[in-house]
Amino acid sequence: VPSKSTAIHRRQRTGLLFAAPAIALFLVFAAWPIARSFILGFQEYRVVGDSDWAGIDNFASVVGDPFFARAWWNTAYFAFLALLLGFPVPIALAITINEVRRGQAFLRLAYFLPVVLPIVVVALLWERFYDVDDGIFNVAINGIGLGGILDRLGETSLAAVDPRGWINDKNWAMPSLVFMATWKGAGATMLIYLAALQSLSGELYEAAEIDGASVFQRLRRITLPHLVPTMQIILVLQLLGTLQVFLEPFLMTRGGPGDTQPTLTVLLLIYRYAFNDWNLSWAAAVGFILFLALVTVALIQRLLSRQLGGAGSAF
Amino acid sequence: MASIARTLLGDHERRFGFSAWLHRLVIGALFLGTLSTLYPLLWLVGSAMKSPDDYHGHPLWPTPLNARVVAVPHADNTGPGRIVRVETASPENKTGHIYTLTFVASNEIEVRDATIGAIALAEPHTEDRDLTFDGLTLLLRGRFDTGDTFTIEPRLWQVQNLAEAWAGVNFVRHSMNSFILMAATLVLHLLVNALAAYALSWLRFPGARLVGFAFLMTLMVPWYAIFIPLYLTVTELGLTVPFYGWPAVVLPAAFNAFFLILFKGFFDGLPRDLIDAARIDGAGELQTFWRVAVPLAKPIFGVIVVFSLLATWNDFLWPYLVIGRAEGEPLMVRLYNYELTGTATAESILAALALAMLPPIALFLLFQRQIAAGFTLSGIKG
Repeated sequence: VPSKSTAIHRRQRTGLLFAAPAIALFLVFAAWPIARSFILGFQEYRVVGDSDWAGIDNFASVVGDPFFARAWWNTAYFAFLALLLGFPVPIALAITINEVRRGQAFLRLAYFLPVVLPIVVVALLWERFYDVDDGIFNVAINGIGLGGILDRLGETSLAAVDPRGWINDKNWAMPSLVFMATWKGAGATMLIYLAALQSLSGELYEAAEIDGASVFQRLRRITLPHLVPTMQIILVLQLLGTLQVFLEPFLMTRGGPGDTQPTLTVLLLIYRYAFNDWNLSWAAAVGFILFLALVTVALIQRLLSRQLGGAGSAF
Repeated sequence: MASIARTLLGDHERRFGFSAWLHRLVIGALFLGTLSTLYPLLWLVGSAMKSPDDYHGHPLWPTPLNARVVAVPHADNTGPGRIVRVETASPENKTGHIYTLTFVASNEIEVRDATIGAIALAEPHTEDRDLTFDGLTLLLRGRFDTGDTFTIEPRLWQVQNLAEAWAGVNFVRHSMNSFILMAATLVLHLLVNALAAYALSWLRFPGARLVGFAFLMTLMVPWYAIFIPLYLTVTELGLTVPFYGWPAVVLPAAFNAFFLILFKGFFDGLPRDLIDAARIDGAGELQTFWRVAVPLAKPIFGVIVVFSLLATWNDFLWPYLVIGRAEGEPLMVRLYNYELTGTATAESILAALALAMLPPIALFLLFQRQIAAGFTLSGIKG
């Protein structure tokens, strides 16, 4: 019979063995790239031979690139629009779907469906939807007779109101991407809110109803406050996610249309530096700045949620 | 009645008064709203099966075309079947697509049983009403002369497009590539992360706390913040060379902090007595893991299996970057390149998209519960 200490010793050795593959893969494909992402931006990277120390030259260069400010502005604009649409929609869906007794499973299924579809399929499909001649949006707009009104507006100073160029219109390209991204993503967020609603005890509603609270009072004083912690998390996750917008513009607009690059986002700029110009140092420099921005957002959320404490009472 | 959880609206409010009216309105809107996700998919499937000249119309019903007889090569043939050459308004190639002739517009002759065909040229008396329309040569039964016009109606489901997409994309090869990547990634996902999670739960080795913390920290680092250095790492290690660069896709994906934490959360919840009992019975640690922990962890394995498969099938950017050779591309990368070539017809691209979304939809319908659980967990943990 082995003594207790050798058994524990052996157990520890086995544990290290079990964890070894994960540790090795973590070191090579997570820790090392993370460390390198901090270094690379300060280097003059060369594929062959040693890389030179570049100080902040890369940062100075990218900040001086007129596309840098453009990309940040566009990304902020995307984030703003995506939150404007993508934050309230899942909440409204979850609260209303939660009230449905018959067919609730179908509703969840239907609204969630786009989440599981590959982004490549969705992007190539929506390219057709946004087609100027045959796309379903324009067919619908022209079909209900709005086309004529928009045509007439086009001759005035309100021409930018006409959305019918969609991703081919410099004003509407970004909102079009946001619309598609929300269509694809809202179902996942809805599900999280639904899970939160499921943990809300029905007795609270019961008691409030007996006290004479109307449906809207209950919504304002019970349902929404209950969702506030979830909303805080989701808001940050959505903000972090939208700042990393890449595949939608990459697949659909490539930063365009036109020279002003209305859909050039920060990650698209990084991609261009890296894989069109093969300037990995510049790419890493912008990546480093983006990383700092993301960390800042996460930290601000931490601070705010600590300060607000029981933010639930805000309602 | 008690089994239904009480929600915002009470039973009375659901049935009577203003609230009931509003409730019904909202429910109606919700069901109508599902069209926003279901109709696009219906549109995709419908459009994927249309003929090129019909593509611009509504996907769910055909748009008749006007056609005109431009030549009657064997004008001396007075039999019931005459070969004529016709021209349609849209000049696109219709090889292999199916049309039905509906009526004659210009001449008075009734040709109700007219057929359109190419292959049928060899056997003029075929009775098939739906035949393939090869180029612009038709076989028409009845008397026709140059200048006659008529309407032809494209058939709705042109399976031809699927065949074209299947061959054009080389679907077999590229979906097989995707399946291989899915299988390899899945095996590593389960093995690497479950074993490590079990070790962190039950086989605490010196430094386990630090390792767990380091793993957790990777969740804080967005993938996009490190994909440039990661790209350098896999190229410098030479992973992009063998097997079309598949190792560069599979290996960096294998360690997954989210999956690991899901596993660990589950293993942490196992009763200590159970693990100890297995150990006292003389089971080795691997046996305890395999015979006791894994069978109990079935629910969490289910979630991770579905998530892993879905993620690998849908993944685009990373394989696009690291897989150098076209033959090795997974389906999503291939689809993107297929569209970029610009030679593929619009309908065949749509047909390819329709085929490519079948596996995720199938996974979703089969494993709704697991997928819902995974997405809910990702929101809570995130």
